[in-house]
Amino acid sequence: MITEDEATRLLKRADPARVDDSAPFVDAAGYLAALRTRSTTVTLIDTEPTPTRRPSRHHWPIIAVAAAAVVAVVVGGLVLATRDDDPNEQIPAATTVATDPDVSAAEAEEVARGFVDAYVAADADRALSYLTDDVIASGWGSANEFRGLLAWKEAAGYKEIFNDCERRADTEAGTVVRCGFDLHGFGSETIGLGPYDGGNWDLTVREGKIVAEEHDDGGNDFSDEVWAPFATWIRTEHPDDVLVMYRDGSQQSSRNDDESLRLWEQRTQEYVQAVLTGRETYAEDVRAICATLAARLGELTEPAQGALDQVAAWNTDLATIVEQAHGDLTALDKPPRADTMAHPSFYGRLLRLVRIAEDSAAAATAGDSTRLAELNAEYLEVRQSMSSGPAGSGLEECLASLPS
Amino acid sequence: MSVGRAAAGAGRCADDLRFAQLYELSYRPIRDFCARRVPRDTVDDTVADTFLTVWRCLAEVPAGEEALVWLYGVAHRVIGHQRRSLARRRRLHERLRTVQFHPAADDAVVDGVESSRILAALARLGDTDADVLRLVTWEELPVAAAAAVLGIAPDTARQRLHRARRNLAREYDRLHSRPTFTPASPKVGDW
Repeated sequence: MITEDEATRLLKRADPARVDDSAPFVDAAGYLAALRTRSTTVTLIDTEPTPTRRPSRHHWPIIAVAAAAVVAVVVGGLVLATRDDDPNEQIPAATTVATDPDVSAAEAEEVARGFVDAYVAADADRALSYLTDDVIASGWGSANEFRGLLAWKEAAGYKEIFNDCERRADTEAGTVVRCGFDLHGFGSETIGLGPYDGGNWDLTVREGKIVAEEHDDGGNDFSDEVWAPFATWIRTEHPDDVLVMYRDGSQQSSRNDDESLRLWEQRTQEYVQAVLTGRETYAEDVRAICATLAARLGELTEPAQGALDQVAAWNTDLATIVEQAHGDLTALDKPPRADTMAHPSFYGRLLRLVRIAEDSAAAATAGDSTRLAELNAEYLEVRQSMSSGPAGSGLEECLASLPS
Repeated sequence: MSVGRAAAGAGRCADDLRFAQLYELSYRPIRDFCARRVPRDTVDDTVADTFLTVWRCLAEVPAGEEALVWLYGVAHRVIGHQRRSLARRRRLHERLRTVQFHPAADDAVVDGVESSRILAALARLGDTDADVLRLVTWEELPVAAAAAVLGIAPDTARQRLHRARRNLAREYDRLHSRPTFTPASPKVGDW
């Protein structure tokens, strides 16, 4: 077993930059001159910045400015204006490269729409008919690879739900049409996740064909919330399938031969079932623990008004009983995708109630009525914030039995 | 020459000088940063995009040692955008391809089974945890500076680092114990 320190040392030695270096150091003036050239030779699509999907709540002013600059510069397109105001180098501040489009906007949108409809329907022949050979080669490698992708999408329940396709700009290459979509995969819909929105597919149409395409899934949480957990489940539950379904152990890319497609379909269905069944079984176990909690709390005798010794004893018993329930609940084997359930949040609040009850017992013993009142208010606040989550979670009786 | 043009010219000279200072201070660290995270054939482009942003936002670059941390943050976002718009595109469209995308491991650089294995273990960590671990291990940044690069709170960075180290060792052991494991000979994806 390797220690964390040993692993970190290994990682340090494996630094990919240690033996890099082939790049000659260019002097600053030369580099800046090259950057100026770089910024004026890029074809602009549009200059509207694309909104980021997940704004960070931790804004460091300088980094936030840098991030905005990167969004504006990289995501939204490159502004052609340079910092040089020499009139001999005037360049428009922002522009689209105007051309004579070969097809009208409506026709381009129709081509794009026809393609995505065929794509969604897994009609590979029809979808391919919209594509030039070049875009097939650059986008997927070959027509067979494209077919393989569609077959894999069906097997894995991977689907883009397209919204409207609208012309974005006219460029030298053609008319750019943007088709927005939402994303589901690996039964995310059934499990209760997603849809993952913000995806866009920019299709450049020329002479009735799609000559270029750029697909962006929108930088949403699909990879973290859907792809990665499914990959983990495969690795854990069916380790022998990893190298059949994926190209390697990193599980970043999938195979699409017959055997792997069969497994993708089978394991996706099993995964969804495991998640749903796991939730049901888990809810039953939770329900049993909550029934015990309710019974024990029901046996507590309410303390008499002003009897601080009774208040102390009651809070001590409450803390003991609730802490026992918390321990039993958190000891249960978690079902797949427990992170999507209401239980973790509920358990956290249960523990807070335990601490409040313990502090209340101490305050009552010390005769500190002021502190007792504060803790009572805190208890009520936590109690009122608790939710048993969606119906069937098993937490309903736990919630109902807690003193309010 | 008019006063206005003279003033503009003087401003341009000052900007060029400022850029030159930043460039000389940070070109190598930024290049190494990018080389650790993107395929070799895109390092130059990524570095150029980073310095292009520096050039355009010259007024916002902080003074002193904070400048390099600021630049790391820009490079991090440039790479993040590249991944989202190109690499995730590849995940969606090219998961069936033969080319594998391993941005931090190049078979020309990786030396030995152990290095391959530890990089494969790193690849199995979540991106957010791996980001902190890379910054602390390879760029040798303090946790607070790594947090600034990633735009997160220092406490969050510490938690992620702790988790990343633990999981790195665990993943390494898992790969180590697999009888059929072959050292990753990742091919740099053609972006």
